[in-house]
Amino acid sequence: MHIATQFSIFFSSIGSILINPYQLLLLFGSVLLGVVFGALPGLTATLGVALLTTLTYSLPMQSAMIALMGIYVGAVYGGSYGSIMINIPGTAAAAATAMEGYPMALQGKAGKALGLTTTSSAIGTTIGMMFLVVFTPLIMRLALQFTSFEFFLLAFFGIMISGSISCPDTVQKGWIMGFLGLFLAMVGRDQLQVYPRYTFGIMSLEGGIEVVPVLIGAFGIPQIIQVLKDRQIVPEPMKVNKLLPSWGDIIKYFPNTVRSALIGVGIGAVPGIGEDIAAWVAYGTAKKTSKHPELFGTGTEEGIIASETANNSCIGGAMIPLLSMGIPGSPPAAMLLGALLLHGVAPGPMLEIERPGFTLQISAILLLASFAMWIVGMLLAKQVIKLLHVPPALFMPVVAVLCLIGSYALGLKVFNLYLLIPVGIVTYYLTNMGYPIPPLVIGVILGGMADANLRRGLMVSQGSLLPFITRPVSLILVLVILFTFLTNTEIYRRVVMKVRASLKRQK
Amino acid sequence: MIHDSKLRGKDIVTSILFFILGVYILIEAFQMPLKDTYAGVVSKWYVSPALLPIIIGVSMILIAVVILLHAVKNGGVQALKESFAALRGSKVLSDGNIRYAAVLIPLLSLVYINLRIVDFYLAIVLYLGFTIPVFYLESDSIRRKAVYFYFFEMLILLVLRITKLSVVLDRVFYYFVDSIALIMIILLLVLFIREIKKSEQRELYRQKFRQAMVMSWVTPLFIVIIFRYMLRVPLPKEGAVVNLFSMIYYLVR
Repeated sequence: MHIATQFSIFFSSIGSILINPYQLLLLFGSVLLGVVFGALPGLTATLGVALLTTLTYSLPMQSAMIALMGIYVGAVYGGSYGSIMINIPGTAAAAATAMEGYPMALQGKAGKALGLTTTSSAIGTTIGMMFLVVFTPLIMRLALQFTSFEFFLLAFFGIMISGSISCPDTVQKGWIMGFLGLFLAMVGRDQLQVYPRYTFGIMSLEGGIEVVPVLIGAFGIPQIIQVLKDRQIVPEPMKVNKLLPSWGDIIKYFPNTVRSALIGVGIGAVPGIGEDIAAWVAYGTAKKTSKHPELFGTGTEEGIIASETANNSCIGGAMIPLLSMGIPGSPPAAMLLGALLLHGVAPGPMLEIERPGFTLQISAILLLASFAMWIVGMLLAKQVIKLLHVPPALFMPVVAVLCLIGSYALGLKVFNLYLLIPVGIVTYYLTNMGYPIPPLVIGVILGGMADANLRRGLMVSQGSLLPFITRPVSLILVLVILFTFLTNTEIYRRVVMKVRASLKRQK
Repeated sequence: MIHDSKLRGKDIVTSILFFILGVYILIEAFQMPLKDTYAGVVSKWYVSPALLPIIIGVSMILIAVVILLHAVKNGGVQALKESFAALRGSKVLSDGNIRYAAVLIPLLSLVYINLRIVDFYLAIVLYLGFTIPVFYLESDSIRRKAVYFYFFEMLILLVLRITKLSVVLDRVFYYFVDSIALIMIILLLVLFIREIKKSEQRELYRQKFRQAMVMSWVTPLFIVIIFRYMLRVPLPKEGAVVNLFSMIYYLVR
């Protein structure tokens, strides 16, 4: 398609929405709903898209897409509200944001944190959209090079990095939580031979453990217990003079923003890796490249900008394999796939032949959704801060109920609730003992993928482990994992100290 | 997080638990088809469902050992001894433990008992109607009495759930369990009002209790409206109140 035609389709799509009050209202309404969904613990972007899919089935295709993309963008961003205000990430994608956002709120910088997350989320979404339009073929080709070995290693890498970064105590605690998450993902019938693993003969466990109850249980319940049990006071609402971040801040952190957006798009484009991994990897990269990595965890602006830019730019990235190959890049994208199929759109290589300009239309909606999200975010942020006037004793039991109903609503399974409580109580104790929760959640999310891809890869190689080191991407991932592991061992530290000492002596 | 010196003592306990979990994962994994034929398919080690569980089990055991060694090296044994000694001298029904029970008992009973046998709206009111005032009033004596009373109420509902009497009674009398739940809510209300009257900070508590009641009764209303009628999520138990709402909703619609 000629570039002029592409521009014309893109801008005409934007224009058609802007001049249509109904579609404009739908856009802002769905973004607002998404922000609320994301902000409330237990209501995820996936659940929002899922519920709205059924509600928008009767709408025309474009209107349905506006609503679904709006709620997706809004919910991924909205997760940061819970992270910053009450240290309960509304979504898994916002877990990394809690590491810096909540300490910022405790320091009285909640408004600044929200302003920065709103702006970086909007920038991230816009950059993601640009990649969706311009770089789709390139990233698609790269993702197509990945085999089962790379997917397994990517999952392993996610656990290792989140275990290393998020642990407040020794890194081994982070890793063991990752393995605990992987173990939870093993529960149920395996994907290849349908063999029941660790089900204790319970029928409800045969289908495996669902991610959302684990997520809510692991992040929400410990926080509720902690706040109510220990008379912990959720930070008093601070006066917010200015939500709009200064141009100085935007320019100062621009390299970090662009780098995080690139990470988000890159990870989003890899099928099965969602916004949460993008946020953690971007957060980890920001920490590693920061001039003051020791300040991470105490409320750094770099940290929240990295995670929020990455998780929102991941949306555009996740749409790339969805539209080009029919493979969703993230769980909400999987729900979008279902919605597209309901509307008679079959994503894949034939999409642009069957529906010319469809990708551009989706990109236009994504761009408008990012603007709507920014406007809604700037207006809503102050309202969210007002919510903190509600004493924790009034607020937290209601959060508990929302956690329960949100967890139940996804699969309409009461069993999810039976699972949520023990997960919550165990993680409450583990958190108190310095075990981080994010690696556990990441292990649960990626466990199935790691298991199936490891075995599938070895099946193709007839049990040979050589592809791990003969395939370039695999080799890089193996080296990164080994580096992450080695740099966190006592032996490595001793060797480094000896080398440094000998260098000093030589001088 | 717990203080660093105490943490090493706890690390000993958690690392042993993780070690045991790792061993369990391995034992179960080695019972999975590794080389045998399963469901007509000859299994090789590299396609076995046990492959990743074995990796997980071994890794967990190794990491648990590292955590254990680290804890022992850094005064974990001494910290553990001190923790046990402190535990021996503590009261089971201390104010701290009662506070802890006030968080867990309603949560556990809501999930494992009430949501299945009591109307969703009433179950949430029963939960919020206890939890919010108990923590919002911040009176140890009121909390203690309320926890004992609530525990007793939940025992009754537990018996109804375990013996499946709830099903039988609901068949014989319309909304029997819902009626019991409503009576329990009212009794709880009476208990709070009585205790507030007796207390020295009567006026402050009265005001707080009014706010708590508004939250306890209005919030579930919004939750039911949003989830049941806007998001069309069937609720776990639709009893007397939700059915009444539905009747009104479909009449108006």
